Amino acid sequence: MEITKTKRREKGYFGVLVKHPLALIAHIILLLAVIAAVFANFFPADALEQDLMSSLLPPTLHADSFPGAASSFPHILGTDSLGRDLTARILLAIRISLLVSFFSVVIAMIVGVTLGLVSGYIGGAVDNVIMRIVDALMSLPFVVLAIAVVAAIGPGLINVALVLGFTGWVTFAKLVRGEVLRIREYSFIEAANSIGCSSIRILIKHILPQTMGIILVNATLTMGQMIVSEATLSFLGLGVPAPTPTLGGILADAQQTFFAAWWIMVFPGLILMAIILSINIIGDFLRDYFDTSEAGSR
Amino acid sequence: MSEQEILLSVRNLRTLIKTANGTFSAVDGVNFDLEKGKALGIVGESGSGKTMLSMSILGLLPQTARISEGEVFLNGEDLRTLSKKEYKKIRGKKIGTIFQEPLTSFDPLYTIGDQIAESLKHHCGLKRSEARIKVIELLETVGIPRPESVYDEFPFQLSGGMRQRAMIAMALAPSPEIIIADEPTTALDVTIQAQILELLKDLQKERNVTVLFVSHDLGVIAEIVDEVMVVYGGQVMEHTDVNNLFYNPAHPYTKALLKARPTLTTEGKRLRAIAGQVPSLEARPSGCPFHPRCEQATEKCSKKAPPMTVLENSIRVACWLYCHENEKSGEQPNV
Amino acid sequence: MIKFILRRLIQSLVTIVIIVSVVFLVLNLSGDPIRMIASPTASEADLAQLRSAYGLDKPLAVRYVNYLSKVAHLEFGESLRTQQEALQMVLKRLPATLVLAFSALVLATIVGIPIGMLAALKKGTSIDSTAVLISMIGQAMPVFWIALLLIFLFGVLIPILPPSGYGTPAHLVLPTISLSLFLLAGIVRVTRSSTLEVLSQPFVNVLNSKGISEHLILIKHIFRNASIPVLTQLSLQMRFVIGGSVVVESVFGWPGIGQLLAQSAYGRDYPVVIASTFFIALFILVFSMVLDIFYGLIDPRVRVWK
Repeated sequence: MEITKTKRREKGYFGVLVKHPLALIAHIILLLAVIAAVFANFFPADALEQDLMSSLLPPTLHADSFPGAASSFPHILGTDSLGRDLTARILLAIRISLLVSFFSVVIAMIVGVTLGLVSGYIGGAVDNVIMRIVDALMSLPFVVLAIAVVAAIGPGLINVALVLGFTGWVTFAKLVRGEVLRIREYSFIEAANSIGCSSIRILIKHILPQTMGIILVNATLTMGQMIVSEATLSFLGLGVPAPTPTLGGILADAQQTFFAAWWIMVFPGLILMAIILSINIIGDFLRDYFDTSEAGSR
Repeated sequence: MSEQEILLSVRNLRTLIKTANGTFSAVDGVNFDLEKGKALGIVGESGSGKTMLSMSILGLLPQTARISEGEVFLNGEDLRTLSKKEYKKIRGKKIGTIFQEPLTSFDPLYTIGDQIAESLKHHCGLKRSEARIKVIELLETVGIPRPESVYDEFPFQLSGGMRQRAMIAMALAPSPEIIIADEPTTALDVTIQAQILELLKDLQKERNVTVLFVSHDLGVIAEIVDEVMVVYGGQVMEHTDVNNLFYNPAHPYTKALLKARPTLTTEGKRLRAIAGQVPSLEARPSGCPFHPRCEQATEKCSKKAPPMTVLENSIRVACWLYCHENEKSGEQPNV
Repeated sequence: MIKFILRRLIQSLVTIVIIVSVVFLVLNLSGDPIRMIASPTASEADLAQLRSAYGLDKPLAVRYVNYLSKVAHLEFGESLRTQQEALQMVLKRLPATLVLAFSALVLATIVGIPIGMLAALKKGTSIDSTAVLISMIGQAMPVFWIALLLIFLFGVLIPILPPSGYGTPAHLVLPTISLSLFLLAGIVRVTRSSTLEVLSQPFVNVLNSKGISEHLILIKHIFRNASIPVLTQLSLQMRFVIGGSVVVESVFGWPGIGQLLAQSAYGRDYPVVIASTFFIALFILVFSMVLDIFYGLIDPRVRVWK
C-alpha cells in the first residue's frame, strides 16, 4: 500500500480508503462490531437467562418447539451448557471487549503521551529515568505484568481496563519521545523558542499536533493488543468475572464442552479474530496514510 | 577496421521498460562497435537511457525491463542467445563492472578481501590461500596502501576513494576483456575523482582492457576515452572521437552540451543551460527526441527521426541538418 | 566486544531492579494482602500478628529495602498456599517452560524465515500474497484460541496427539505449534520486508554483475543481511512468546512457570507471583543479551565499533 502525499490531500481519507479494498472491508467489520456492541441490548434473546432444558443446542434457524422454552427466538449460534443463547452472549461480549480495550487505550495514551512529551522535551535525568522504566516494562510480557497487577487488585471490569491502561503506555511514551526529539530539531520550534513562547505552549501547540499521526496509528495497533489481552485475562479467569459474558470467558467455558459443542469454541474465536485482524489492517492502513513508518515497530 | 579487432558490437538494440502507464523503449535502436583496447564513453543527461544501455549489455535488467530486439556481440558471440547460466559465466569473467555507489556496492557484512576473492574462487577455481595472494596483488595494483590489512577490513572502514579502488580491483580480478564503468567517479569528491580516473587510464593502458565508460560528465569523459557516444532519449545522437567532440561537434545537442559546461575560457560569462528538460521516458516526443529543445529544429524533426549519417572523419551523427532527403537514407543504415 | 557485553549486563541489572520495584509497588499499594490470606473472621490482634510475621508492620521504605535485599539473595519467601519455598517451586518448573519456549522459537524461525524469503523473492505472485495473508491472520489469532482449535482438531476430532499433559515428545507438539504461530507470522512479515530491502541494495546488483551463483548470493549475502532485522524482531517478540506460554501452559496443563504464575495470581500467592515474574524477566533479558551477541557476530559494524 503506497499512499502519496498528493493523493492524500486530493482525495481525503475516504477517497483513499475506497482504493484499498482490504482496508475498506476492515473498516466495515469494525463498524459492524461497534454497531453490535451498541445495540446488544436489543437482541431478542437474553444473554444471562439460563434454561437447562435447552442446554448445548447446536446452531439452528428454528425456534425452540417444545413447550416451556425460554425463548421463542431461534438460537442462531446455539446455546451453552447452561442453555444461554450464544448469539446474545457474544454480542454482549463484543461490547465488553470494545469498552475495556477502548478505555485502556485512552488511559495508556494519556499516560504515555504525557510522559513521552515530558521525557523528550525536558531530557536529561528525567528522560533517563522515564526511558529506563519504559525499557524495563518493555522487557516484561504484557500479560505477565497484567497478571501480577490483577493478582494484587483483583479481577473486575474496571480493574482490567486500569491494568491494561497502566501497563500499555510504554509504546506511546517511546514513540512520542522519539518524535519530539526529531521535531525539536526543526527550525520552527527554534523560532517559537526565540520569540519567547513558553515550553508548555510549544509542546502543546506545536509539537503535539505533529505527533498525532503516530499516536493514532499506535493507538489503533495497541487497541488490537488490548482486545487480545483482555480476552486472555478473562480466559484465565483473571479478567472480567462471570456471569458477565466475555469472549475469553466464553472460550474458557468451551473447554469444558469440547466433545459436545464445537460452536461455543468456534464462533467467539472467529469473531475475536475478525475484530483483531480488522484493527491490525486499519492500523497498517493508517500508518501508510500518515506515512509514519516508525510507528508500531513494537 | 577489421572484424577481428572489434570486441563489442551492438546492433539495433531496443530495450523496453514497463511502467504503470504502459511500455516504453528506454533504449531505442542503438548501434555501435567497440575495438579491443579502446575506451568508449557514453554521455547523456540522467534519464537518457545510458545506464539502461549498459545494463542491457550486461544482461542485468530489472524485472520490469526486457530487450525486445537487436543483438549484442562479444568477441563475435551473440550474448542474447545465451542461456541464463551461460550469461552468468560471461559476467564477471569477461565483462567486469564498476558501479557508482562505492559504499553500498559492497556487502557490509563481509571483508573487502573476501568479496574480491569471491569471484576469483568462482570463475578461476582458485583456493582460498591462492585467491588471497592474488587479491592482495590486485589491491596493490589499484593503489591501496597496506593491502594485507585492507584485505581483512570491512567496507565501512574504508574511505569512499579507497572503496572505489577496491571496486576496481574487484572488477579486474578475473581479468575481464571489457570493463563497464557506470558513473564510477560521480559519488566521489573532485580530487579523489581525478585520482580514480588516473588509475583507470593507467590500468587501461597497462592491461589493454577495453572500457565502456558511462557518465553524464563531459569533463570526466574527456580524461579517459578515445571515442564518445552522445545519447539522448534512448537514441544515439552522435558518435565521434574525443577530439572531434570538443573541437568539431556536429549535433546541435552535443554543441549545446559543450556550451553548458564551465571551462576556463567561459569564466565571467554566463553558462548556457539547455532550455527545457530531458523528457521523461513516458513523454518522449516523436521524431528526433531532441527537437523540442533544439534551436535549429525544423518541422521535419518532429515528424521523423533522422537516420544515422556518416560524415568525414568517420563522425556518425543522427540529425536532419546533415542528412538530405535526396541522399538515400534507410531507417538504420549500417556504419 | 567485552565492553559491549559489560554495558549490556549493567543495563540488564538496572532493568531487573526496576521490574522488581514495580512489582513491589503494585503489590503494596493495592491494599492489605494480609486480609486476603487471613480468614474473614480473624480478629485485629490476629491480623497484627500475621503482619509482623510477614514483616508488613514496618514502613514502606524499610520494607522496600528489605525486599530488594531478599530478592538479591533470591529469597522470595514461602508460598502462601503450599508453604513451599517459592524459589524452589519456580526452579522446579523452569525446565518445562524453557523446553516449550525454545521449541516454539525454533519452529517459528525455521519455518518463518524460508517462507518470508520466498515471499520476497516471488513478490507480487500468489505465493507472496498467500504468505502475507496467512501471516496477518496468524497475528490476529489469540494464542488460547489456537490452542483450543488444535486440541479440538488433533486431540478430539482426529485423536492422534495427546490434548494435554507433559512427558513425551508427542505432548510437546500441540503446545509448541500454538505458541509459535504468532511469532511465526511476525517472522514471515519481517523476513519478507527485510529481504525486499536487501534486494533493493546496490550490492546485490554488483554481486550479480560478478556472475557468481545465485545460491551463493542468496545464502551468503541476502540471507545474512536480511537476518539482522529478524534478530531484532525475535528479541522484541520474545516477551510475547513468554506471555503466550502462560496461556498455553494453562490450556495444555504444561507444568511450567506460566501455569504457576496464572495459578498463583488466581490465589493471590504473592511470593510465588514475584518469584515467577522475576524469573520470566530474567529469562527474557538473558535471551535478548544472547541475541545481541549474535548481532555482533553477524554484523561487523556492531562488533568493530563497540
